Amino acid sequence: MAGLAASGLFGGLDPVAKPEAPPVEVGKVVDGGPWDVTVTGSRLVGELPGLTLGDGRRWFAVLATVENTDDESRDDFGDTVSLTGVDGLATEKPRYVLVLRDASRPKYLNPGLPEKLAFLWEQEAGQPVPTRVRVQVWGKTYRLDSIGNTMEWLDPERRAEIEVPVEDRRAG
Amino acid sequence: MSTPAEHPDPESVASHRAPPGPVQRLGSRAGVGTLLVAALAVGGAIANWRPVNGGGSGERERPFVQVGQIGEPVSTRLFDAAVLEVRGTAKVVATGLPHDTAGVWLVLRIRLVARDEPTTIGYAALRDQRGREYRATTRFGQALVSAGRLLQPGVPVEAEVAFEVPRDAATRLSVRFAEQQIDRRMDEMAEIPLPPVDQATVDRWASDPKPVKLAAPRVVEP
Repeated sequence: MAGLAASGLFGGLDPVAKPEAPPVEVGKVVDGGPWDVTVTGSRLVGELPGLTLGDGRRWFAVLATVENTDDESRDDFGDTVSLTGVDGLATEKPRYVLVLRDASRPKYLNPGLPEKLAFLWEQEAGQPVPTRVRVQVWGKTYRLDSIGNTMEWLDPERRAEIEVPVEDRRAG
Repeated sequence: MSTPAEHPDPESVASHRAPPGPVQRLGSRAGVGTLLVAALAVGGAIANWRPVNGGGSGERERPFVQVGQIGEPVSTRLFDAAVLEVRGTAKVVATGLPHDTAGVWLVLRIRLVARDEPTTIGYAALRDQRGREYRATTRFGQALVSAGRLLQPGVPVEAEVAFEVPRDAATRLSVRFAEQQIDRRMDEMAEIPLPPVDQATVDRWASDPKPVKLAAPRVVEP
């Protein structure tokens, strides 16, 4: 208790702000570890074939090229990108992640095979159309897991923030 | 009154040391403290010891790999696996439209049979010379190797399974099969090296415009 009080005297109990992710330009590669992520754009779209869209909603898509840099197939590529400053999203995480080459929704991405992906969020259609959004790229650290005593990718953190222009493709 | 020397007091102490003084008591306590710290340091070092490369349990709990060769069944505790044919291509068709790739498709015709009890195969992956692993593609359904097809004992099932790999990794590969999709620690696994091919062959596969239609799973004669 005395130690805690002493720590408080010197600012040990002050709230600590999360470090800001460095700004990165659209189209630049971000080493997320275990992913290389290149955010290339974002757009609003209406109905997409094969995907169920809730009533009164539209798709908000972030486009990115993602390459698995690990030594094995990975299923956490849906966590590589997040959005802030966009109102009316139905979920915090994207509802679907599509491979653009064939609109497939794989569970795993294999190492060394970069893919253009669309991260899709459902958004309330009544929200104003943003002109720009902030996209965060997340990465992890390869370290020893003290519980399992195995090397794992852990500690997700923001590695970069990209201000991305939004295209309205609903008419197309 | 003195006690005669020939009749000593039975309660007396034969050899008596004077009680320790303050300095001696301090030294004694310091010695005990030093030993305590040393014991804690040794215990901590033992508890926190890791192999030089870390991740010791990964090596300790690695799967038991049964290695065979192409065309021959490889037996594990739960199933037998065989690779009957290997081919490569730029596009595959499972159902519907063709799927292209940033690398090259490897299509393996395989035969799986459960041994003593109904079993599923949850893991099929190619492994390259660098130790990288490439799971059977999940861009379309491949139930036979994604725990979606229950194999009955003694009933062989054949199918073609597609894997997507970078072109520079496709020349020398082996395939692995296991029951568990996620946690394969200390489980048995079948491994079959594929015939090596040269880079020119891989490049020819990758530029072949004709899609390969994948054979769906079917029961075959034992």
